[in-house]
Amino acid sequence: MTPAEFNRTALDPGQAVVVEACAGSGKTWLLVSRMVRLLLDEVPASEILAITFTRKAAREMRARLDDWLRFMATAEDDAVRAFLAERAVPPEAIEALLPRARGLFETVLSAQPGITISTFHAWFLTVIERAPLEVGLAGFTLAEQTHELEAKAWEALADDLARAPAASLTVAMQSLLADIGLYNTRALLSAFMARRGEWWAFTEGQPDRAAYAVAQLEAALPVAPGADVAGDLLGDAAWVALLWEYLKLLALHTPTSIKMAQACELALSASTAADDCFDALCAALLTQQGEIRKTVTHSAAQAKKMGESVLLRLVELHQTIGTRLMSAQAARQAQRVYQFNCQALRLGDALLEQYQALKHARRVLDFADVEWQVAQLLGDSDQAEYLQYKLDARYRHILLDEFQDTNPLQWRVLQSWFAAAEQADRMPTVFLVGDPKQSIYRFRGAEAQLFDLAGNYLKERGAAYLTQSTTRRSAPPVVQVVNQTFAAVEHEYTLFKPHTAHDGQRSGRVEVLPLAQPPEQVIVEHGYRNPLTTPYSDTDTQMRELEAQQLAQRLNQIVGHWLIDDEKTGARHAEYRDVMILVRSRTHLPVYERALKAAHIPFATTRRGGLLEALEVGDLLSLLAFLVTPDADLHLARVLRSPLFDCADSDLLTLASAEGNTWWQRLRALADNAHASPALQRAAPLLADWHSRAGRLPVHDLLDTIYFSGEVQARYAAAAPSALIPGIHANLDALLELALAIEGGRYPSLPRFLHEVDLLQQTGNDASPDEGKTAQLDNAVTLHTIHGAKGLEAPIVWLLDAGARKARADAYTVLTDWPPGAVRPAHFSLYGDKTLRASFQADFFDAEARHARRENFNLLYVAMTRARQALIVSGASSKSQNDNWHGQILSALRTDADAKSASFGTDLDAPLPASTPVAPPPVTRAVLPPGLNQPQPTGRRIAPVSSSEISYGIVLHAILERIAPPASAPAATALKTELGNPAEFDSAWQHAQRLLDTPLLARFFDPAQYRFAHNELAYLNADGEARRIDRVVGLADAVWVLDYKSGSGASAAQLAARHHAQLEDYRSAIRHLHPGQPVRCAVIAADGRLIEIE
Amino acid sequence: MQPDLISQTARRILAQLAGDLPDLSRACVLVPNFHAARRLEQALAVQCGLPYLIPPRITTFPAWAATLPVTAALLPDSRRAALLYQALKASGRFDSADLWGVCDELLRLFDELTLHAVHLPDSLAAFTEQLRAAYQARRGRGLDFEARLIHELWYALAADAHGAQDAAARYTLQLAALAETAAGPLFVVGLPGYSPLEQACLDRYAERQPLVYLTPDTHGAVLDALSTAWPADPHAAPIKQRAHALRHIQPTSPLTGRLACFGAVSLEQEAQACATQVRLWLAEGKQRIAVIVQDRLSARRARALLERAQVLVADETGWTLATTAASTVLMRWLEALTGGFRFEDVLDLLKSPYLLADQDAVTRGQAAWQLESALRRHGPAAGLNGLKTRVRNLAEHSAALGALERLQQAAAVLPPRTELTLADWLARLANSLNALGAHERLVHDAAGQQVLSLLARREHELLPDSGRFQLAEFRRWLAGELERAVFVDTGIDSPVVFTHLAATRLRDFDAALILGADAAHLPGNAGASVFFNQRVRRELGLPTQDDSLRQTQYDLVQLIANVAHIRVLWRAWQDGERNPVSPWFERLQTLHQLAWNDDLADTRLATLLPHAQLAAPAPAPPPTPTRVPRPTLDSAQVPARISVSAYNSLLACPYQYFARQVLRLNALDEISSELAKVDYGQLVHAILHRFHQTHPVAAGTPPETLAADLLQFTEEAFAPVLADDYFAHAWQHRWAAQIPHYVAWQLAREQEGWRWQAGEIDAAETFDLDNGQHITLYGRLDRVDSLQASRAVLDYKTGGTAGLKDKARNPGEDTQLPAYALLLGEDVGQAAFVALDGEQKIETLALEAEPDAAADATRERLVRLFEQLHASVPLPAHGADSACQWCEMRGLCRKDYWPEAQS
Ligand code: SF4
Repeated sequence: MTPAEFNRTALDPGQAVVVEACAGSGKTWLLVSRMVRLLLDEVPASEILAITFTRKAAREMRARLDDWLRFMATAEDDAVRAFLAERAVPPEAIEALLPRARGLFETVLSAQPGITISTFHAWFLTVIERAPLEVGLAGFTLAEQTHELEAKAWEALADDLARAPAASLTVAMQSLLADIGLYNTRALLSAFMARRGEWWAFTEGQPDRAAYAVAQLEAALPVAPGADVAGDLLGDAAWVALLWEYLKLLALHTPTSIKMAQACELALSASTAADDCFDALCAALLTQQGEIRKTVTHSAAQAKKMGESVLLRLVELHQTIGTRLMSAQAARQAQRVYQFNCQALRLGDALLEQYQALKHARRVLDFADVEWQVAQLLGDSDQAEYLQYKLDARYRHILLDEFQDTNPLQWRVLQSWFAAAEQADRMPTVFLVGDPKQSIYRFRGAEAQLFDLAGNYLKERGAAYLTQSTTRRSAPPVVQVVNQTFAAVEHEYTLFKPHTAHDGQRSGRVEVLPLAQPPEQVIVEHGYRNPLTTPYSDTDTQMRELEAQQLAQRLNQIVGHWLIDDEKTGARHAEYRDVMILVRSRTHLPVYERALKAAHIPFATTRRGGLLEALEVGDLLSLLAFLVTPDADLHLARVLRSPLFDCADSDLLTLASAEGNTWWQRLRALADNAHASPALQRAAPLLADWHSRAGRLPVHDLLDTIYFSGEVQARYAAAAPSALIPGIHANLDALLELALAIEGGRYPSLPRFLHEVDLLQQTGNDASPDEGKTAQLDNAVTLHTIHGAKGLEAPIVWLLDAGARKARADAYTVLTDWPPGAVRPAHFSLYGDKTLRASFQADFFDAEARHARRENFNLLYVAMTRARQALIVSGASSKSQNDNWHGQILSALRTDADAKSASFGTDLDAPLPASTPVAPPPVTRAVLPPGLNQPQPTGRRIAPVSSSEISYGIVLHAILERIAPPASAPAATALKTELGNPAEFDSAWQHAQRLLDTPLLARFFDPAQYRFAHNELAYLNADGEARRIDRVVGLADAVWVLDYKSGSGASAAQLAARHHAQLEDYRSAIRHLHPGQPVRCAVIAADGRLIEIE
Repeated sequence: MQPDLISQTARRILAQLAGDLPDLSRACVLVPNFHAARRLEQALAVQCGLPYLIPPRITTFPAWAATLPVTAALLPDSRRAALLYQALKASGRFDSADLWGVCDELLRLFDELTLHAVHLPDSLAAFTEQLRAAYQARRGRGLDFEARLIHELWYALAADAHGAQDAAARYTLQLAALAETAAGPLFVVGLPGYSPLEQACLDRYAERQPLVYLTPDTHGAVLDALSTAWPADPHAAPIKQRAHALRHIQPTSPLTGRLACFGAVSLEQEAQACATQVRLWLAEGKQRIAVIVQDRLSARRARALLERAQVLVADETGWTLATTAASTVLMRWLEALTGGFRFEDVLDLLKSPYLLADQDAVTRGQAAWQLESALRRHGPAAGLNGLKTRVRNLAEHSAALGALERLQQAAAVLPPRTELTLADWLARLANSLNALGAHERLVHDAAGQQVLSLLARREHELLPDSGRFQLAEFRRWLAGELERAVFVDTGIDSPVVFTHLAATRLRDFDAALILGADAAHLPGNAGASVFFNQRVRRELGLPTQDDSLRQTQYDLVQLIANVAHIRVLWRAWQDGERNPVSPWFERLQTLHQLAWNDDLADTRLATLLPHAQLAAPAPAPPPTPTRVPRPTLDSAQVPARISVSAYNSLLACPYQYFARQVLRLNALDEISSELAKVDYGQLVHAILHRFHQTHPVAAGTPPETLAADLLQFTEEAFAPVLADDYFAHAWQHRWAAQIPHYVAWQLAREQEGWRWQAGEIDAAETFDLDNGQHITLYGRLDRVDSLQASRAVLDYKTGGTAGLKDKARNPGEDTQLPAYALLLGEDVGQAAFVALDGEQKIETLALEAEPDAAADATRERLVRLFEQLHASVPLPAHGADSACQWCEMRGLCRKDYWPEAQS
């Protein structure tokens, strides 16, 4: 199929399509092009749903779509025509589509609802938000981190068990603890919790989940769980007869055999219990591994000694007896595993219930809940239909990315949805892309085989099935090495089909470096190592340090020398940012990072959850901990040693030997007497200042103060090695951001913040905050795990530690089998070390092992295919011979079977041109207004508007307004409610009553006695200032201006003097407004006195 | 710039009412907010040319309506919620933890229905049918449920209200009556839209009195550019065409220099840019600066940065009361009560300056530290009595005990299991706050005052409510109240105002900055209801998202048209990923680029930022680059004693030894109930010691008896631990399983001739140094056995066996066995670990070197090391990775910052 043909089918908006596309083939291009084609086809944005696996990928897709739509809106006509043609728009349609193409940018930007590009989880959450109310999910939010809840669930379970020592669950726990210990019990039940989605699915609809699961196991058991295997065997007279015959013959065999026979006879004849007797027989006949001992075989010498036929009979019996013992042993093992499952499954289920109850009480869901709830919702046809119309968006086109990472539950959701849609004859058009070779998330439940299954499901419904094995990413030499590496394991790794490079001309290179070898053991001459002069070192570290040095040296030979064919700028010399370093696990990262640091190579590690481990963040957390617990000496010492204060060890020695209980007391005493070094002298007042703020300021504001007055950013920049500075700045910023964001800024107490951070720290990698991201612009080598590098690429990829063997799988965990496409798993059990695995689980173990092997290849495939131009492989010497990635790639590459290293492809080294006239970027000199580095005092604190005096006035006016005639006065309580129950109400109410009850004032409040009256008469003076007069009353003879005063006790003269100016202003206003009428002014005191102001 | 709508309005009013001057009180003017009212008053006063003027009533729609007399008592929202809660609870439809949330949603919906005059049909069937048609769906359980819930409760609530009016209903009634009061002309100025009831009110008014609508201009250079960028017509020509047409009319951009956009790379940079821009404007002398807050996070950060420069901000947006320190202490108190006083909550309370504010800070600090120390040392506890017991373990405990007793007294008024009315709970809460000494602090805190007055207001409103609630229900209710209440600090007067977009209507700013203008925050999609969907809302006549978008766009246009300097800020990168700008600015920038070849990006701000950093208040000389520390000691500072484990630390890393032993620093223990490995080890040591004291010789006693004794000692030793930690059972099992093996091992050892001699022996040995000083090595020997003249020193190990073999093989690197041999003295026949945790066996792992020789070498090295320390040889930090991994001194040695791998 030509690329054009491929695109014609893949991008046809009316055609459902499944694409199996290799790494680097441009899946995102394809997906986004498909969206463009849909939009061009007048599909409303709200009908498109694209689902991918990470938020990052979703954002990238969104950005790419925006870019393209903007391009179509703004580019020249010809460019847009070419753009459309490239995306297989039929030539005859292009012209007519041009206006629409140009308009899409805005159509999509302003669409309501817009196009949905999301992860499964995010999309599931929106579904849950619209779930029917009766399901009771309203108001639930996503739990940000569940570690604390899990810990609490353990506590709750322990409390329950402690309260009921005789309950069967408690007995189960005791027995499990006795059997496998606390560590393994925790590991096992945590693993159970982690697979709760499968557990729910497996036991769906069962009232007693654990009982059901146990019953399933019992059915698979080769023997009744309570059967007395040993007793039955030893009660089998025929077999016992054979056994005796065997032992008799055995006693004629070799000395070893004779001993064996004696041991067995002893066990049989003594009245030992059947079990002990059985054990003795097993110990004699079977090896530790449970195999029949090879001690009884046919040999000529023995035949001569015992007689041929006797020996033959003995050998035959040895096998018969041994086989029977083996099967009995297997049966007993199965019983044991069954018992173990009975206990552990019930405990796991109980623990899970506690956990669920805790979440429910807090109204939170975790991701597993979200997934399960959505599966439930869509599994119920009534609710599924409700959701279909409840959602504002009605999806008709679904694009599924990275489908190999889908888990069975997600597929179940899709399937229910498709089924409902099909019934309503509204089956959406599905576009599904993935690559089973890049499936590396089995540990999270992903099931790569779903890709085929979904592919077939869609094919049956008319979807086209396309494969794509041309990579646009990797240069031909890289592709060739990938092909050769996997060709060598073809029989084991059938997923792989040879790739081709899109552009056959690009140059590229692959290097496999020799494994770092253990250094010669240096024999210490005499005596023991002196730790003051000689650091301790072990060979494993030394080996890795060698590999790391190799890395650093080679990188410095590459950067600035190799020629990179940059897509955007054309050929240029390699920079640090072009290099991506991959490791399988983080274990040895520090060694490599040290070497990079030493070689002054800037690097950035994308370490999920690394923020809280960073030294600078630790320093500040220590500072905060010190501020809440000033007696914590080590925290203080750390803060003093950090760049914040840069105290020397001699300073610490001074404090260590000073007088005083705690270091904080000593520090203050020394500083008070000016006996301290300048560094300590500086520390004392700053710390005291921060300490005084710690309880009062929100954490973020406290940190801000610390950053500012402690010059944090600048001081760290001065103290740290240059390679680390960008990362340090980013981390310090990220900590501030964490302080702003934690718990949505709610209830911000410092101890609580530290507690939360502590929890995040314990959570481990997945939920704890990432290290601060440095701006994209940094020119640094990046280090990733292979899992973390999925979806990324780089011109130069370095695969480290390739000599290591496969990681060992966990003991004590869950064994499940969820056949692709089934609604629920077919098997769910737990297992432990080798004594806790049974024959009835064997098939599933085999399947697991097959999957693990395949994923190991997948992982290597993903690692190698990140490289655009160059791939470098290194490692440290390994005991695994060639059964490691280094060996696999090397043997695919080398021509000489003994070669320890190999290289392939073009020499990318290009001498630097004699002179590189690089025009310096135009420097825009920033003209900073003077003083901008200095404070600009602005604004002022004023008495808050709600200060009591003002609000008293407001309340009094409001009351008078409502109770003075002609109003019909409401009851005090009702009015109080109306006015929002102000504190001043009661006294203002009395005040108002007094005014109304004062006979002298009646003429001002009785409508019968006045011509007109205004409450709160507002007027403006010439400057536009507004004034309000409490009351203006027109009597027959004059207009009265009245002003209420709340203060009591002042004499008439005092009041008159105090308010003279104010009332005069009122007077002249009223004169203007009522020209020709006499205006009289008065103050009415709280006690009802009327004081006229002349 | 176009004449401002406010002055146009003033002119129009004065012209139309010339005959009324100076008393315009007959007329009424409706404005969007009171800021606009102030401006209009000023414009009127200035333009009328009179010394005094009675202005028209200038007001907002709600305030105007509120002037009408009321016809029925008010049913406050708090009481509605309480009524609704009880009705819902009785219906049993929802989980109790959910109920307040559902109440809120329902009340919000009911208010919307009232305000938009949507009448529910009388019959449920009719309403269900109405919904079904609006959804364009078949009927189903979900739909029926939604319809029934709303319908039933709507009518139930109306019945329960007994004729009282809720605020929304009152507003609609007042609106309906407003037109009747028409006594003069009405001017409606710059209102962006009306609800149907408001529109009806205006229409009726217009029948009685002249009514004038005054709306902003729709044309002008800026407005034309904006309407080209954001055309109302969805079928407008493509943007490129529009841009070219615009350019044809306006060869130069009206926006260049007026509006600029800045995409920051991080939250911090966004906030920095905001603060810098505001300070630049201030430096230019701008008087009224608005920051329009779309993203609260950036705004909080920006405010902190401005305050560094002593620029105070008048924050009109406020923040929810729930985020203030005052609320914190309240909610933490209730959480502590409902959670049974977990130690985390209690510590948090004791560390809060709001509590026990009547005591001095030192006593409070002591109380917290005493409790914390007790918990760290003796494990956690819960409940005030439990905590008191823990505290009594300490010698110094009066402060903590006093504080806990205060808590206990205060807690007595809030019984968790009793059902009381909300008003009752509120009153008791107030009492308890008094008892805690919190009231004092709260009244002196701006947010605290608002919290207290909120509590008082609710208490009064809820007095008539007779519904009964548990403490947990009350706590959830209060959390919701604090969440909803907005705290606005009105105590700041500043030219810099943080505000909402809608609050900028008809206000006058010299410059405005839109903060957080990314697609997620502008428009943003807050406030979606759980009921219905957009289509149904439209069908029913409720406002939809489209309406709110239109409104936002209207406000944006007005802002840009009326403010001469606009900056648009957003985070263009988030978590290393691109983050799109608001679609409005995306379109505007694109249009501008196409029309005038300039995308309005602010390039100056980016270059200024690094230089605009504020100088620290007291700058200090910068620190020196970090180096590997190599402290030296004066002879007098060198310790005279060293334990065996400290000797090991010195071997692993001299600096670690320095920090632990010379500086005497150590990390605080975790507060944990869990039996740690060390504790387990100690227990087993004690059990074995007791066992051997009881049976110095085991042979001769039946193994069963020995095992039974050991088991009994084990149970006795574990009993107190099990009370605190259920999972300690696991450790007990672990050890109990080894008991038979231990007995067997002991008997075998006696067979070899070894006899137990003593256990838990404190030993010390002093050696001379060349400068006349001495060094004493000390340690505790777990056990000494003898075989004739020869003796053995044994060390019990409860950890894994794997590492032990290496240690026994390497006397130079793990000094325990040789050092014990040294401490034991002459004739050491054996120095060995006893691995107690083997797979069903006990193993003796003996030192693989001649004990005496190893002891000698150990002594020699010890002496040499201390002679060197006395001679001020430095103690470098150079632990191997394995040592550093768990080293608590990593923050002191600063290993992560060392410039190079040490050579
Ligand atoms: S972290 Fe390592 S180098 Fe630093 S003190 Fe601890 S052991 Fe020594």
